Amino acid sequence: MLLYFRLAWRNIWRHRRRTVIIVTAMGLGLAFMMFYDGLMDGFNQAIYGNAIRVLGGNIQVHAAGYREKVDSNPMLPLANADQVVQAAKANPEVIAATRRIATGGLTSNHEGAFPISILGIDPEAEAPVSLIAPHIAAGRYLANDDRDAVLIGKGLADEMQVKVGDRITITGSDIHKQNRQRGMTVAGIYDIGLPSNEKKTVYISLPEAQELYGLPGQSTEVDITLKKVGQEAAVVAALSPKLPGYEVESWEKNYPELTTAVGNKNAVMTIFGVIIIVIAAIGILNLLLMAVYERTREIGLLGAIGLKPRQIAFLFLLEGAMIGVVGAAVGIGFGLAINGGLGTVGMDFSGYSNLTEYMALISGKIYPTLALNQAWGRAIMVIAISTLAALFPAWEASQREPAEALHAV
Amino acid sequence: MEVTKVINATRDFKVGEVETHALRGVNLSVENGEFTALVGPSGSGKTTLLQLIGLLDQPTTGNVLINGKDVTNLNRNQRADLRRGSIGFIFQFFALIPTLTAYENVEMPLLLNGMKAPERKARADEMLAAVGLTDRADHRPDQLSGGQQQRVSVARALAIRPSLILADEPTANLDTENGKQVMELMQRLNQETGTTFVFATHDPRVIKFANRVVTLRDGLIVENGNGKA
Amino acid sequence: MNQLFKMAFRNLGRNRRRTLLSALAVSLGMALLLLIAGVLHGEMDGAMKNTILLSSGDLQVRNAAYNEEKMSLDWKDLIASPDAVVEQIKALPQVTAATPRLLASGILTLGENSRGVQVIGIDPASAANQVFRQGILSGEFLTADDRDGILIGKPLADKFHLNTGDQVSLLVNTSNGDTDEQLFTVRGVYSTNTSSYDENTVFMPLAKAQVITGAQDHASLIFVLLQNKEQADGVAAAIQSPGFQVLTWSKMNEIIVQTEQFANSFMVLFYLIVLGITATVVTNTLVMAVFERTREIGVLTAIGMKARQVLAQFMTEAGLIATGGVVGGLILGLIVVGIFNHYGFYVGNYGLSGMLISDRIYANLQTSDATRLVIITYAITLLASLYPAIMASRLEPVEALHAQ
Repeated sequence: MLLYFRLAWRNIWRHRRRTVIIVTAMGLGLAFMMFYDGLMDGFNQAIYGNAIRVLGGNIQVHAAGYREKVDSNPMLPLANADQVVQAAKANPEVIAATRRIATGGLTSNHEGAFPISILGIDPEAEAPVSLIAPHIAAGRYLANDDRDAVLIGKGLADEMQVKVGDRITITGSDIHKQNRQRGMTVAGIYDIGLPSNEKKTVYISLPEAQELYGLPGQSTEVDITLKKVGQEAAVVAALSPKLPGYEVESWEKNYPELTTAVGNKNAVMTIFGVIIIVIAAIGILNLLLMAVYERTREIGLLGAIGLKPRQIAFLFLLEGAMIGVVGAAVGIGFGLAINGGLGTVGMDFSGYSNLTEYMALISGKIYPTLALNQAWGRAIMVIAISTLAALFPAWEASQREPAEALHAV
Repeated sequence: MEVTKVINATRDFKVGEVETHALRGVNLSVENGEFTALVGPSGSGKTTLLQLIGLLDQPTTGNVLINGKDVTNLNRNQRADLRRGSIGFIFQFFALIPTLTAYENVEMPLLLNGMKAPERKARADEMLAAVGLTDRADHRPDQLSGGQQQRVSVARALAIRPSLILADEPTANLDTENGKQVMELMQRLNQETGTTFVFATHDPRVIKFANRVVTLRDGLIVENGNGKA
Repeated sequence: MNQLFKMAFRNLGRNRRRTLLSALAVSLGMALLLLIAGVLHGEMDGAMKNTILLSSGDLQVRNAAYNEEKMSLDWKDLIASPDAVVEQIKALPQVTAATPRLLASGILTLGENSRGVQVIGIDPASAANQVFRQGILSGEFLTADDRDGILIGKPLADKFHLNTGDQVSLLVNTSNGDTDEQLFTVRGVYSTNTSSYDENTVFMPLAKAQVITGAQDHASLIFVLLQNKEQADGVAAAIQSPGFQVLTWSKMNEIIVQTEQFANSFMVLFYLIVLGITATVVTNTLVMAVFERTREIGVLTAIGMKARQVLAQFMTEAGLIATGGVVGGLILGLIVVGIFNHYGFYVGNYGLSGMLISDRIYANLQTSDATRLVIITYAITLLASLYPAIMASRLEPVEALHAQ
């Protein structure tokens, strides 16, 4: 076996120039895919980070039946929110678990009407993990005993042309799906740099929401903040059995389209990637066909010594695979260099923030990741395609009768 | 006991529309330990006959026997196995694998036969020593002279201790002195190990080493000398 | 010159398989890029057409004070007596349709479910709303005097399990900054094959919308379609008058134009990478050819061929490979683009808010993109041949003749 490796390795470097060119091509193809993966990862991380903060936590706990009705702002009170909070806090990964009431509605004044999400929050409990508490641009954050006071985003304040102290109408649907209209005073304006989110979300105190929307002492959601992103699955798995009758879900469930969109794009990219590598592999095919031709006599000699046809074929397959391995290594090198460089500098996509709901979650530059995780899969694809490209030359090499091959000049 | 026997063998080649009859019915048997020369002008069928004996090729009609066994209809894999185990080749062009060193070239057939490392090393060293190239073991073919390269091929052919070594114009690309050295080497190994040698040549200086001379012309044996051994 | 091509042709014919494979690599690369260009343009072009047809129109006339984001229904932000304005606009020969629309935000509620929607009051008779009439899947289109009928999109109907004839509660904002709620009957379910639009948009007759929102005889905007969207600037200038703002499709849909530009710049990178890889295949083929023909090149230079001519020889060969590749690539590419143009492919709802991409994208290749690709392919292939060509032209005759 070692003999084949030794022969194949030395053979691929017999015409260094050719091999270098092919390897560069494979490397470029792979590096391009890594660049794409890195960029997508960068996007996702930028989006995820903000998505978690906008949602209020890494994990959301709702009453059973919530997911089924998620499209229509269901008002399903949790049976025992305190029990949920206690259970969550007992988990060592959890930093905070806070209660909320979430409903949908409209806010209006003479400037017009704007669809909004109304979130009743426990201001003191949320303060340490809150996205908005550190970003109050004017006025103040909420307090537990606030009544008829609302905290709105800068984007919405601009649209409605209101400032702290002005009154606006907040209409929200209550537990019985009746719309409850109430004039409120703008207590504060927050600015998180995500205009489209600021436009859609207003905060009131939990007691006020309980009163307004017919949920005395209750809440519809518990948000759990974890120490690290990525622990969601483990914590969900640990909590779910302790909380029967509740839906414990990672934040990702709230963005189902995000996952499918990312999945679709990746599938398309994989197809493109395969085509690109196939093009490069045609180079390998050409190179090995040439090598079979050049080495006809040598192949005859190997046959005379006693190599069987399939052993000769194996030798050429191995050469294809090795070119693939070297190409993959070069590609990973290129890819890491590109992604490393861009990851440090960052890429500015802020001009496209209003393009999609998800882009709106990007607050500034995108920093591509190294994309090493996906790179292994891509590298295996490169090696596989290279080996496949060697199939035909290998077959051709093995078809020669030694006597015939020895005759060739 | 005959090492190889060729019975009524013919071999036709078709190149384009032209059919050539390289062998037109050849009968030959070679006894164990012979040192036989196949002679004749180029195109007389020497190489074709050697390739039939060496199982590199198959006769159009007729039969080939190795150690008394009919091998005419073996498939390619079976022929490869037989070659690997019992036939050594020496070619006119020095036919070494250019990417392997002298030592590795000699070692290769042993590797193919699955010989264990220590034994393999000992055998390859022994063979290189036998052809006087121990100090050149780590050189690649392009770093060796023609004579040295041919000696490496002799060492490689002998490494598997074959019952038969076939050499096609082994000295054609060598100068007189080197040619003589290679022939003396082959002769000495024939005498010391009893290995059977069959070589094709048209060089009279080489022919005189042979203890049996078989002459071919136009695909037929015209003179079948008797072995002295 | 002729001689050059003849020799190049014969040289390529010597190793036909290798030549074909190299041309195939060029073809594959080019076909891939043609497909990408076609899909991208199809997507953007489709998005633009769709957005114009459904939402922006070729032109919109609004009150100068109107702010699209706010969807204000305050009288001071609206167009009073829109019919007179519509008649004026319709009088222009380029205009195919002009119709007033009233936009409001609403919340649709059925039982426990509710969802924010955009409510649009339309004139059912207008040709501009024909697209919605044609999109009716069940039930009927609106009539101008319908007092409690609405049209809802298929995705919304599915989510609410609503059928034609069902009743549903709709809350809308009103001119005085308040909200009003009323029970409506679903007259029909429509689909424009654009989920992001259909799931958010509810239609009612303009007259009813004016009543429920308290806008009375006002409209939010006048939606105008032209014979040709390129006439937009001219028509906009013609109907511009004080107190109104006239917006063209290009102004309203800047995001689509920007996105296309962004995508195109990313595509250039993609072009270069794919063609760069293709080029290496050509380079390698020629490098091998130079090696094989070293002795021959020696002979040619010995009998007086100049370095420049050797260079030209190899570049001509590259040119021929490129030609084969381009022709093959165009054939393959056009077939694939044709298939995707005919069948489209399903992308579903991407959650895009700035543009309306239909759920199925149809590839659409522009001649300019194809031409540009042909030129780039030629340029890169020729560039790729420079290295082997220079290598060949620098061979010294003596050395070349010595080669095995």
